[in-house]
Amino acid sequence: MILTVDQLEKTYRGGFRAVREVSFAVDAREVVALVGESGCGKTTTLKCINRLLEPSDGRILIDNEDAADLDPVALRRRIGWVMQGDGLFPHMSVAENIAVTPQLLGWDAPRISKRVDEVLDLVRLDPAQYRDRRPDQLSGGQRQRVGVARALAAGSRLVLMDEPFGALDPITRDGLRTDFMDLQTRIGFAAVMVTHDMAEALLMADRIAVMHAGEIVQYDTPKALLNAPAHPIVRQMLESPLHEADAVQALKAAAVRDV
Amino acid sequence: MFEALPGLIETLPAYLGGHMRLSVAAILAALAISLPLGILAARNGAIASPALGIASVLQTIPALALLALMVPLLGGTIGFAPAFIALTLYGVLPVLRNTIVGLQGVDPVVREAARGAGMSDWQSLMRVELPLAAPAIMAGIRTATVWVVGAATLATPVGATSLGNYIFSGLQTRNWAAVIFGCLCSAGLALLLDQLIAASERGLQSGRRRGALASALALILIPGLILAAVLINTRAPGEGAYQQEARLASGLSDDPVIVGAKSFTEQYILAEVIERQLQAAGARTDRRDNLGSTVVFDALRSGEIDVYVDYTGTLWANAMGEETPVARHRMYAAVSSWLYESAGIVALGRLGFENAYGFAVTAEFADTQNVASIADLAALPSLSVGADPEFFARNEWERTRSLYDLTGVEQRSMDSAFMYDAVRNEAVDVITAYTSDGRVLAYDLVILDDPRGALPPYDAVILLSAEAARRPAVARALEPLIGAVDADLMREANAVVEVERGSVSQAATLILERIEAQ
Repeated sequence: MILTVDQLEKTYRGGFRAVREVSFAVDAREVVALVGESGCGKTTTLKCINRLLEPSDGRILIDNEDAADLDPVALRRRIGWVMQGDGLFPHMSVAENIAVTPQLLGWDAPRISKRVDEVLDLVRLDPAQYRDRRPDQLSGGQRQRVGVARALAAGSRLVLMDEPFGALDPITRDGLRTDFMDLQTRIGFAAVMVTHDMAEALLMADRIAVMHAGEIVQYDTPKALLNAPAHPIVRQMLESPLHEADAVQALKAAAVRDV
Repeated sequence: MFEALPGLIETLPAYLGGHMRLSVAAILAALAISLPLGILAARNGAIASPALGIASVLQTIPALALLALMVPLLGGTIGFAPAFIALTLYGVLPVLRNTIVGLQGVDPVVREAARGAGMSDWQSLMRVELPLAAPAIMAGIRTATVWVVGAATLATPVGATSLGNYIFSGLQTRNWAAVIFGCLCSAGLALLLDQLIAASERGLQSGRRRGALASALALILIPGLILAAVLINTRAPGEGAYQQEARLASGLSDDPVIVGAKSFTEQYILAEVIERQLQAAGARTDRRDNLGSTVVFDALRSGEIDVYVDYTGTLWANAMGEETPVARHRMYAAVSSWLYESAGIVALGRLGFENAYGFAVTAEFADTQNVASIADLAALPSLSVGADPEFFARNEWERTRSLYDLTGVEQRSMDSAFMYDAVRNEAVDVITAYTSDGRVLAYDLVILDDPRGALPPYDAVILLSAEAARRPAVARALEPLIGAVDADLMREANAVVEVERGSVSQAATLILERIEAQ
């Protein structure tokens, strides 16, 4: 297991229990989605993994090492991080943004430069064209690609993603998802992805943890989830994408009849 | 105006150099305080509000008052130190405020991205937060620079040399060319520094390292060169062993005797007279001009200056805190023993004239309204009085009003340089003239009688610091001045500067020649 979350608890100051007894494990090369409405504790769980938030109780194992025993800064350099919105540094060029973590790890300049070109290629941005641009000279989709490139730059085997495609228009989102899946299959890193979009989770994840009120109500493969929803919340969350799919199918059928 | 220019330019290296030294030091110190404090405060709200609160309160204190307050706070030290501290405090707020606002304005998403990418707090600050807050911080630095360079002109009354020397002495001697020259130089310096900072900022932003480097270099070199020029210029001229021997033989040590002066013409003239008298005896001298009224006294008490001329009435009310005046000779006796007992200051003697406040009207006003004494003023239907702001705050104004029953008087505060013209042009009916002022004669003003003794005597007295009093040669050199300057001579000397537009040095020569002739 590349990541094991064991009985994770997070209580905020003021006593709000945001995460309750959350446990799940992620295997190498696996994509796990944390799904739920806003406020269900999915982002809190994610931030506890690289200690952007300190867990109140429970254990997190990264490559069988207890995260609590590691220096949080060193820990974060080992784990890729893709943010809601892109979180790019507006005063740095694309290349400088991508180079941040390798630089912090003390790589030498030629190695960093080579790596920047590699990861730009991976996210399908032409290095010659994009290296020296500033974030405000990129489209939303391009910025998100750079965000992914930055998370992959240091060669992390685990990437954490907080609503990575949330702020994009549907067409851009669809293209980016497909590319991301390709990339993940090719390189084989593991990813934990937070999303509120059940359809996205079904399409992208190997396993899905459905969260509600700080707890995981079901942790299963997309197939198992669709076949046997174990909780009313899961059924309710599956309803909307299924309903949309049915409605689109019906419309399509009607359109064919009209012709 | 243009014929005055060569004289003004001659003193420019010293004044500009002093101004630069003071303001650059204060700006750097303000940065050294406000940047770390701002960074700390931006991350810790518990520091932010008190820090901003204190800085804002300091800002609301008028710069002149803040500067003057530093002198007693530093135990009477005058010169660079109080001016430097006050200007530093003055420069803190804009940088502090903009640092806090700039850092707090950094998008939290970007801050989280920095942590998520594996930056420590320090790395996040240096690589992300400060660069993003830089435009706001630079704007604060520019504001502070303009403020400090401007406020540094006010360092003159606390004894620090600055471009304010032109302005303060120009106002007093009505040398408008000097006032304008001082203002232009100070404004030009502020603009120059502001533009240099702006240029280096633009260079940094556009990533043109060379441009930024050039501006930064200019930012260091220009002040450096000016200072260097000043240092070369003010290096004491070489002195022969003969002079040194003569000085030692005369009992005057190598230490210069420092002559202080308040900021008005008579004081400049008397300081020059004292200085020349000391030099003639072989002493080295130094001057501290344009000191505030309480600043100069504190400076004498602390030994920052060695000698200056003050007035019994001023010392009686301001230093001793006495309220009811007494007769001229008794006041001198009381003041001199109080000075010696409380501060070891020696009143060497009276020069022989009074520079009292006297209610003055034009001769024409005296005739038509039939007034000869302050008592006659009460009968007038309306009355406007022009005086320096200090007078209206003094006890004798209260006394005068109650003794002579002056009610419903319109008070008009104005700089003493303007009040003589104000009464001549009938802008006010009465002014509280200085009785030794040359314009009393020149404008044909009548000083009204004071039968009830409301206005205290103001005998001019030479004061020596405790330290100077221990050097008998100083007292010996100044003794010929005692009792040698009567009111008419002083008025005449003042008129040389204020009416005939002559130089202070000409006026001093007039006094010394008369003394010689006696």
